[in-house]
Amino acid sequence: MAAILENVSRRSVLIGGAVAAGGLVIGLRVLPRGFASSRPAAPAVDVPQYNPTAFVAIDETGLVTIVAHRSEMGQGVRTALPMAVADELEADWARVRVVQAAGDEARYGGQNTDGSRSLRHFLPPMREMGAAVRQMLETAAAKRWGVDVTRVRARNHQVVDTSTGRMLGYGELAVAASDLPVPQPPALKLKSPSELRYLGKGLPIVDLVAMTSGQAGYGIDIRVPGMKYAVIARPPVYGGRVAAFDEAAARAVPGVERVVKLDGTPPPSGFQPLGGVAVIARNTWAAAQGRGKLNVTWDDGPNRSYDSAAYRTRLEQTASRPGKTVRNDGDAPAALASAARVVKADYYVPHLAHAPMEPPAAAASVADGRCEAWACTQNPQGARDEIAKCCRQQFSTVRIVIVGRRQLDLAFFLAGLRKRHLAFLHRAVEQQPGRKLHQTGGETHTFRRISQCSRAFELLRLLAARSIEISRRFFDKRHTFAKQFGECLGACKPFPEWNGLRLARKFFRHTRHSTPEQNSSVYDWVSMTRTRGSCPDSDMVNIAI
Amino acid sequence: MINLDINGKTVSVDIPADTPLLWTLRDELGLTGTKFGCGMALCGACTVHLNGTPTRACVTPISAAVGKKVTTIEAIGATPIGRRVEAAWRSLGVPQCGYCQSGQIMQAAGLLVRTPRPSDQDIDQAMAGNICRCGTYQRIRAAIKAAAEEA
Repeated sequence: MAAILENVSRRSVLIGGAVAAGGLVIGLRVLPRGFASSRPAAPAVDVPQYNPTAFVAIDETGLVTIVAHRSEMGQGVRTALPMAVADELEADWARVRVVQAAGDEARYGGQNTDGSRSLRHFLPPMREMGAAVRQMLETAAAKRWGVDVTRVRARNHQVVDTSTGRMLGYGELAVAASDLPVPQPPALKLKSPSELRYLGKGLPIVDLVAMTSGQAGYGIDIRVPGMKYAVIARPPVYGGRVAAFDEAAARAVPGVERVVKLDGTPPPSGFQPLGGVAVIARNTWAAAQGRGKLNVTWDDGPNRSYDSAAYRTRLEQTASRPGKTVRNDGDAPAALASAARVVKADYYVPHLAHAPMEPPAAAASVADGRCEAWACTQNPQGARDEIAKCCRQQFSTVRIVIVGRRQLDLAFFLAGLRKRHLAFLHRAVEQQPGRKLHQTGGETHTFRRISQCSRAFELLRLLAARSIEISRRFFDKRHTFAKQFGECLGACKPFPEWNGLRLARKFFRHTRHSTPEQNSSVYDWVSMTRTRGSCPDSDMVNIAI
Repeated sequence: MINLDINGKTVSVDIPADTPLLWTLRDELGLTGTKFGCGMALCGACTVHLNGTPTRACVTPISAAVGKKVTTIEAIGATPIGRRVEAAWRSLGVPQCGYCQSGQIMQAAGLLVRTPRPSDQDIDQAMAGNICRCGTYQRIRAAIKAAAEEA
């Protein structure tokens, strides 16, 4: 992991929504292996000179501000990454403030918080950032005292002269430190494990008090002065459309102010709007009551006869026939034929609703050709793109603010849900410019996981007593687990229990099969009642030696 | 106009009397600490106190709250039991994503009002209607016991 650390103290840097004035601001840019955005990096229009991924700042009062640029969903990343910075910085955690970054690819790189990548990719650079700031503060103190830097040592928000015991607080040193160059590897010195104060020890999550006093803000909690609330009647069948509805009945509900028909997007709609009818009201309850009066007649569209049980049968039949080989390492069929023991299993994954407790919700404000949206999204940049696409780029700027935390399960499926909801929302906003809306959705229309089936063969040969069986199935070399695993076995080795483990995957065959509806992309997944299933059929041999 | 006693203050709202207390708190009064989860009294995220009794705000019309003292997560910490419950929640680091925790705390505080020394069975019974998708149930139970022992 290559990290580029830059001192941006002399620039006007937006941090936590306010320009950091005075003191030290360090920008960190990360050029990670395998973390690059899935699309070409957008040119950094607003900040052409640099592209920092995260920031830490110290102001003259000593307050340390650390930007959390990943999305919190209950996994603790809003605490974990700032904690890594604070630990290396020798910061007093009580004097650390964590602020959530907005979705901003130019500034933070890809923020799609999925694949369990946040810590794996950002722990080392976050530590480096903290260490760099610590060394700058030490250097500033040594200069102030006119002593060699080896004589001073940062300790709990102060730099101490180890010979005399005199001390300078971080706030007193921030401005001086901001004039210094940023130490780069190898001059950068990370703490030894025994010196770590927070990492590995555990700290309360940064939102603990807010969460236990009703103050934590989730997507559904955004309040903008004058905002309205909307709920949407969505097609009960994916790809369906509104044929007719009773607008007058909905409008007769006290509190309902407007009823808006939403155009849908023909399948496969990706994250674009599915269509429906939005009811806008003074509060959520009135909107929901209005929705209940719509009496929508739906044209169910091409999926009206979809039957998930029949689709499963077809998937399983397809998987049992020869398919297209997309990967073939070694000679897996031969290895299986000569194996002492073969484990065979069929898998079927049904349509799965994510079912988080936190209802997906977003708020948006449209004014002067700009759109600002607040959402509990784990992929803010993706959401921004979808909004712009949905609204035909009518906004000069779309800004996404990540709010709240939501529960995590099969992460990226829900990201789609969030984005789709946003797209819906903005369609409503589009027809009511200048108004602010709030929208909630329910589990009846969640983004469901694709239905798929697969068949796997494994040969596990235990060649030594200390061998460990690896029974994970690598359906795709791009699969996150494979990457994770490879990293664990390769450079990182973060867990002692992995020591001594050797994994040799000598044979691996992956075949792919197409059902008539299937798109060629394994990641093409569509929601609701109709999906495009992929049915990988893997012949795989893992040998643990 | 309907007058309500919310967290010790009298507030007036001009909405239909069948509007659920949940949406009145959240959308009309800006008290967003009380959460919407299911809207059908199945998850417990919207739990508030009516005269000290845990109540699902999502199915409680404001007409049923008139003349009663409504206490929400924003104010429960001002009561002795609420303060102990919040302290126990913090000391044991109960929340994960946190979304259900307002309701959990309100339900737990209501339990301790009636049952100052709850057994495991008391806790399970009282908390059964409060769902946590992160699965913090073990810490919730420990925190309730810790809060009870503080008394």
